[in-house]
Amino acid sequence: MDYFLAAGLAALRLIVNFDDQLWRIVITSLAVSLSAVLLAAIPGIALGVATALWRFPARAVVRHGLNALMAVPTVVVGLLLYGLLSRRGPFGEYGLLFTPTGMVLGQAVLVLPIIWNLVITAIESTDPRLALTCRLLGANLTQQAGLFVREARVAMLSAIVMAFGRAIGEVGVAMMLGGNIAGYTRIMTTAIALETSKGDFELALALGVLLLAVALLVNGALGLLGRTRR
Amino acid sequence: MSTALYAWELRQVVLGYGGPPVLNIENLQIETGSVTAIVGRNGAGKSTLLRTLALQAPPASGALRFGGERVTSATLVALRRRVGLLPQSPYLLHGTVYANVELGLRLRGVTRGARRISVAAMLERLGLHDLAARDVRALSGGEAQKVALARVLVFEPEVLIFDEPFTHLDAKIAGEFSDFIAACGAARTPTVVFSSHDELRAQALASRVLGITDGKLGPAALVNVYGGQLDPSQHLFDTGRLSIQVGEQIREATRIAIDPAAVVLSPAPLASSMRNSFTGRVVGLAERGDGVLVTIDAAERILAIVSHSALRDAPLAIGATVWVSFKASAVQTW
Repeated sequence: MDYFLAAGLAALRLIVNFDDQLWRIVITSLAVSLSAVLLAAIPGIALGVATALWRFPARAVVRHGLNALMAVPTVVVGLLLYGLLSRRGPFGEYGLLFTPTGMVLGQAVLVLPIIWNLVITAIESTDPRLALTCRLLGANLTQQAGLFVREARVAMLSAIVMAFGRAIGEVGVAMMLGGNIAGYTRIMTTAIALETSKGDFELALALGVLLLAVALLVNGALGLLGRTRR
Repeated sequence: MSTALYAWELRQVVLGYGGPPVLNIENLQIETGSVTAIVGRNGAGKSTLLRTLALQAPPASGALRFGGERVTSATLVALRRRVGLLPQSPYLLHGTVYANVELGLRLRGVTRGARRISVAAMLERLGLHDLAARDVRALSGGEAQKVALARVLVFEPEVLIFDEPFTHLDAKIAGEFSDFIAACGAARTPTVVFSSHDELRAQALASRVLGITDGKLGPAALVNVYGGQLDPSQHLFDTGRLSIQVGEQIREATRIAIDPAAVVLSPAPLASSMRNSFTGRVVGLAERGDGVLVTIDAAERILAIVSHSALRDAPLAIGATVWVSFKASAVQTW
C-alpha cells in the first residue's frame, strides 16, 4: 500500500509540476484523437444522414455491418491498416506508418462506424412528423437533410463525443500504427502500457489519472448533452 | 400565381398500399378560389385525399393536375411549393416562433430583409407578434396551431389545405380558424380545402361539401337525410310525410339528402323555378361558422343554412311560419 501511495504522490507531483514529458504525451493524445474524430465526423454525419433518410435495398445489411464494426477489436483495425500503410503495402509510398498522421487515419477508421451508426439512430429518433413538415414547407432533398441535422444536432453531438471517448482510450491502433515513438507518436494509452512494463509506475499512474479525467469529462459532456436533448 | 379555372383536377386517381385502394377518385375538379370541405368518418380516406391534394406524392395511377399543370415526379417539388398544408397536429421545429414562421421563406431563398418584413406582417395579422421571440415549447396547443398556420401562410400559397382544423382546438381558436376560412372564401383567394367530421360546420363554411366513404367520393350531406320510395315516373321521392321532387335522370333511390346550403327560406311562396316548396315552422336557430342554422318543421325536419345578411333582410323567429324552397337538383339520391 505504501508503494501505491508513494507512486500516487509522485504521479500528482508530475501533473502539478507540468512535467514536460507527461504533458507532451497528453497533448499528442488529445491532438491525435480530436483530429481523428473531426476527420471521421464529416463522412460519418453525411453517411448517417443519407442512410437514415434514403431507403435502399441493402439498408438492413449496412445497419448490421455497422453494429458489428462498432465492437471490432482495435488491434484488428490496427492490423489491417498496418498492412495497407506498411512499406510493402498499397499506400506504403506515402510513409504514413509510425507517424501521428497514420494514427489519426487509424483512429478515424475506428470511430467512423460509431459516428455513422449513432447518427442514423439520431436522425431516426426525430419526430415522425418532421419529414412531412420538411416536404410541406417546400424543402428539397438537401434542405430536408439540413433540417434533420438541425433537429437532431444534440444527439449527433453526443455521437461525436462518444466517438472521441472510444478514440482517446484505445491502444491497439495507436500502438500498431504509431509505434509508440517517444516525443512523436507516444500517447497516453501506449505510454501507460510501456511505462508499466518498464517499471516507471509513477509516470504510468500520472497518465492513468489524466486519462481517467478525460474519460470523466467526456462522460460529463454526454450527460449534459443528454439533459439538453429535446 | 396560377390563373387556371381549376386548382385541382383528378382523374382515375387510385392509391393503395398493396391491399384494397384507400383512395379511388374517378373524377374530381376543385375550382380555383372555392372553399371545399371533405367530410367523412375516421379512416374514410380524408387524410389520404388531402395528402394527394397537397402533392405529397405523385399518384401511382391516374392523372393529377395542379393549377393546370400535370403533377409528375419531375414537377412535384416545384408545384408543392405553391401548396400550403396545415396538418392536424403540426410539428414545430426547435427554436423560436419567428424562426419557424420564417422557415418556408428561407427554404425558398428569400432574402433576410424581405423575410423580416413578411414574417412581421404575418405575425401581426394572426395576433402572434408578442410571441415572436418565444420558444415554441412554451406555446399552448392553440398558439402552436396558429404559428403553424402563420408558417404556411407566410409564403403565400395558392391553395390552403387544412386537415381537421377544428379538432383539438378550443372554441375561441376554432372560431378564429372558421373566420379565417370564411374570409378566404369571400376573397376567393387562396383556394381552401379542409376536412372535417363536423358536417354542419363544413356546410356553413364551404361552398362545396364532398363526402368520402371507403376512399370514394359520394353524397356529402349527412343532414337532411330521409329514407323512402322513389316514383321514377313522377320523379317524386316519398318520405312518408313529404313528397320531394328529384332530378329527372334519377331512376332509383332509397335515400335522399338535401343540401342545407341550397335551401331558401322566405316569408311567402317564392315565384321561382324551384320545384320543391313547403310551408313550415321555425323550431330552431343556431349560429354556425359564418352562417345561421335554421331548423324548420315542415312535416319532416329540414335544416337550412342562411347567411347573417339574409337573416338581417328577412328576420326569422322561433315559431314563425316560413316557406322552404329548394331545387330538385339540390337533392342527392343514393
